[in-house]
Amino acid sequence: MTKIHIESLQKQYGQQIALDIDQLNIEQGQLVGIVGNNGAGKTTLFRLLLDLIEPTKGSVLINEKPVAGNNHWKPHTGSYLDEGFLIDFLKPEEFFHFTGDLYGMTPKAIDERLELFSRFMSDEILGQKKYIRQFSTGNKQKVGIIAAMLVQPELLILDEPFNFLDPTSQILIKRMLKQENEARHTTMLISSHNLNHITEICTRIILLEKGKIIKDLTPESGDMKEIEQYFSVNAE
Amino acid sequence: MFYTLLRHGWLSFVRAHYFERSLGIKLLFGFVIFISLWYLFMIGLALPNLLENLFPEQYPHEAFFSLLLFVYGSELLARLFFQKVPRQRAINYLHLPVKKSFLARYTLIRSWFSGYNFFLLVFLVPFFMRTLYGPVSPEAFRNALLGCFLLSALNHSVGMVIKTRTAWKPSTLLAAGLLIAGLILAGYFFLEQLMAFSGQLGLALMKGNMWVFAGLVAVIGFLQLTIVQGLVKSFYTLSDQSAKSTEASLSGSFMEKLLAKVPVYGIFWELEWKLITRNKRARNNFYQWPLMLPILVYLFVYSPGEAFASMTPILMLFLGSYGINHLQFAFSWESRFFDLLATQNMSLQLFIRAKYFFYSLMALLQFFILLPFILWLNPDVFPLFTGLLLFAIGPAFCLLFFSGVSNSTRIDPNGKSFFNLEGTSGRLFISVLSIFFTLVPVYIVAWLLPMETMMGFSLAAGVTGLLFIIFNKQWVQAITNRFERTKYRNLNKYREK
Repeated sequence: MTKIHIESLQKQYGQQIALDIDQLNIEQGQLVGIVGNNGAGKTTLFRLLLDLIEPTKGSVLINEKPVAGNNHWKPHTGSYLDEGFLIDFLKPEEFFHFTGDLYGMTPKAIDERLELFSRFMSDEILGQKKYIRQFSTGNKQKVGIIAAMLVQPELLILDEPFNFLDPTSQILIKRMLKQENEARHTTMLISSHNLNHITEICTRIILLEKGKIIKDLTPESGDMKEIEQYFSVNAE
Repeated sequence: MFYTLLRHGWLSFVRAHYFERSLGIKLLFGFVIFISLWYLFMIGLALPNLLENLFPEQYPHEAFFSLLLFVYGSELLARLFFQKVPRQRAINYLHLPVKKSFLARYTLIRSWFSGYNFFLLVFLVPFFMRTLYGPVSPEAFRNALLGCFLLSALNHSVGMVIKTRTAWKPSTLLAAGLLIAGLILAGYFFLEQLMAFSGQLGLALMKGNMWVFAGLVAVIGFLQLTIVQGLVKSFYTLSDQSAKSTEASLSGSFMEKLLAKVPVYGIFWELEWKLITRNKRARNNFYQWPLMLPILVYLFVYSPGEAFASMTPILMLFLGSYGINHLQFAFSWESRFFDLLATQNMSLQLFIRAKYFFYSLMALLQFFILLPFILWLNPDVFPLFTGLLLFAIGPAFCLLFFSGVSNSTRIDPNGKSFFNLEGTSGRLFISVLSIFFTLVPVYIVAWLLPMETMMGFSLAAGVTGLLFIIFNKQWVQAITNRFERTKYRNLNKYREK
């Protein structure tokens, strides 16, 4: 069971406010899409959620306990933001086993779990005799996403997971996220520039602009046109 | 376009992140270059007197000319190991509407400005000024200088031809190996003839022999043309990442499997082992330490005796060499993936402790290899070596971890091995230097102890080291806490590319 509560969270770089959220609650099992243009604060929000940067003020609570300076959230959180989440001198198999081992999974359980991702990997990841640094950007992205999902986390955070993936892989990853969310009630936070992907799978969409939440809605509420309009107006 | 590329090259140098970071490192770097060039200049001034004493029957310039081939042979060797081919700079332009042959010519011309082509002049100008300009003639001075510069250009061309070859066939490598071995043997068996030939070559250059100059220019010109062709071909390799895919064939070595089986720390030891064996810079660091062994053997063949106090810092440095070499960049080695480590279900304290035990074991391994030599050559120094080993594993490693927390520079463990300033800083320099000063209290205790000073020192160093080893859990925890406090700043810096 994973609930996130954000209270008066602010991140400032010099005079520039990168993120400023008064209050945000994310309930167990929600699949939340974070959208916004470049510099909206999506990655900053994720880094604050993962205690990778220090908030200027406010706090993030996971299951009512603060994230900052604590480790209680780590055993049930999986994440992939960028290549800083990969150990590039390992082969993918070694990386998956390293991650799984840290989460107490047996080698057999890791291999069984990896089989579920076999279509997503499409014979390009395992058994390649290559280090991660030698893979294409798209395949590195796949390795990172699989490692994050491998440990069956209660909370999954993915930054731009559809980037660099081919169309088939994009469809597969959407399907896997949806299945995982429905089967295990995994709380998921996913950012993307692609509205279609987000509206297709997310049960809640948060629109960020210059660090502030300006829309918080559900696709069912029929407000999606507002978001589409927001992006098209900004493009004009 | 040529000017634009040159300007980009200059900007990439002055805007390199290790230059941007610290004024201290800039000053230090400048100082080291200045001192090196100053020494070279002074050697050039002083060498004529030395040669006069060594070879009284010859003029100094004649004596130098007889060594010319060896000087330039060594220069070529240095180039082969250290000189970089600046072709990597071309990679960002390959997709632009710029001809590959233009980029190849640019890369070649850029390489002419390499310091390797000019540094010997700092020595040669004062040397020839003293031996040729006045004593022989200004023409001889000019000819000799130009001739030596052409020899540098020849070395540059040979080095570039070798380095721009995209792949070497095993048969070519074998032939090259045999050629080098043959040259070394020839140098050994025909030393006098080689020296005589070298002397004749030098004199021919000094006298401005047109045939020798023309021959050199022709060979250099031919090689330069070959380099352009080699560079164009090498650009294809640069842009073809799959060409590197054979690198990972060394899968699941015995050592990796063995380390993985170690309970609790095994997972981190295996990771550490892979880090040091699969990344160029870390690997080179690792393979350096067996080279320390002969130096250590040398150090105790000449027993430290009464002069031991001046040798102990160096001895300690060598005894803990691998750990000290590696741990000076503690945490920066992992800087590229520290975001991952910071979010994983793992204890940072366990991670640091695993690292500490790993490098302590490496130091012990190094010591056990050395032990038979110590006992055979000079058993009297055994207590001193043991005490200093314990001191290296204890306070020295602790200090390096402690300063590692403050070193938030990002480094690429797979970056180049030599002259790589990534991760260095004035602060790092001071912290490594401070390891030597930790021995001062040990000297004081040794002098106070009612026994022979060297034995007292060995005892004091050993006991201090043991105390740090016994209480490693406590100081590792303190370092963990310190890292947790500076975590955000460090992670932020680690992300800066």
